[in-house]
Amino acid sequence: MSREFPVRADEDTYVTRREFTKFLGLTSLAFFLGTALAAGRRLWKKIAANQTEAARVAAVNEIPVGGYALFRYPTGDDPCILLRLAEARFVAYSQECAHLSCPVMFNAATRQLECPCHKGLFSAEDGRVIAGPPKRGLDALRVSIRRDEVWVKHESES
Amino acid sequence: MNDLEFFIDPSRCIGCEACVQACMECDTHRGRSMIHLEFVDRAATTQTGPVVCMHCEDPACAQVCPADAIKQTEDGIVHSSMKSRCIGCSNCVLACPFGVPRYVATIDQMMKCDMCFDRTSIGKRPMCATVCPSQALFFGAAEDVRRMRREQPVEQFQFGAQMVRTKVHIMVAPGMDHLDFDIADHMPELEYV
Repeated sequence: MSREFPVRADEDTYVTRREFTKFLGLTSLAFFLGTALAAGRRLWKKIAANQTEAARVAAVNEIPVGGYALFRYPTGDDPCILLRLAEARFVAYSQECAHLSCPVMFNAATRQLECPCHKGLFSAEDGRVIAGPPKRGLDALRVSIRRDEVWVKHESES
Repeated sequence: MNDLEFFIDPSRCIGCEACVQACMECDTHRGRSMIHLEFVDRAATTQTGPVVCMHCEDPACAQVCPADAIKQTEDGIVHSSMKSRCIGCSNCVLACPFGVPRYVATIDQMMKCDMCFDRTSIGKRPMCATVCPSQALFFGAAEDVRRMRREQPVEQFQFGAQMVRTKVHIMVAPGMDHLDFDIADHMPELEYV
């Protein structure tokens, strides 16, 4: 008689120690592989971003002080935001909220970046978390001005 | 209560259908009888016989179920198909050597006699056995049957090369230790001219 289809009702719900251990082992392995895959994907994106060339976002005079510009860097799937906080001060962040990747929006009055999904607040000065569920700040980009144009480059963590 | 057993003596059946009516009244399957009253040879005689589930030790219905829906409990009772699993394929209907399971199209599920497990598990007799006026369906102690009846109970049935052992007993003539169901014995005798 096959173990998979027992005729006896008590065997139908019986779980052997071996089966239970197998279930625990395979489930743990699946969780580990899932986590490793997510970590590996993030690492790969970071490496790929570091190798991306600097990109031009806008001309300096296109963005007023207190204004912002949206762009995508390093790929078309990575929304970013460039802020002009003062005459000569530009900052750029990834627009993905560190919580669940909703796009953050700039509030010029409070000088904060707000996530509309769960009310996460980030400082526009350095991207750190002020309030809400995010555990880390926004990913910052390195901004440079070349010949009256704003260029961004991925900030390497070396 | 566990020393009580089910004994069927078709020769005592008077065809009153009290068992069928009693079965219909059960709350777990109200309005539908799970006992069949069969005519032995309708053209030749009015003799009937009640057919309840024999509750095989190794139930063919459960063995052939592709959906794992028929289960035998510790007390040896083979239950109706589980509603959540039965796919209504009728494999069990075809497999049962006694012709007990019936496919009910309105609920797309097999239903069969479960020896009133809700009653027998708490020491009560099955509905059919409580009403049978001729004791063709008898639920009681084996020694009582031996004391009261000339016939003797058997629970082994020979189907071709396969011996089927059951929980329910059938009363047969003294001296028999099993019932032989060779299909050739039940074929009409042909007269060659």
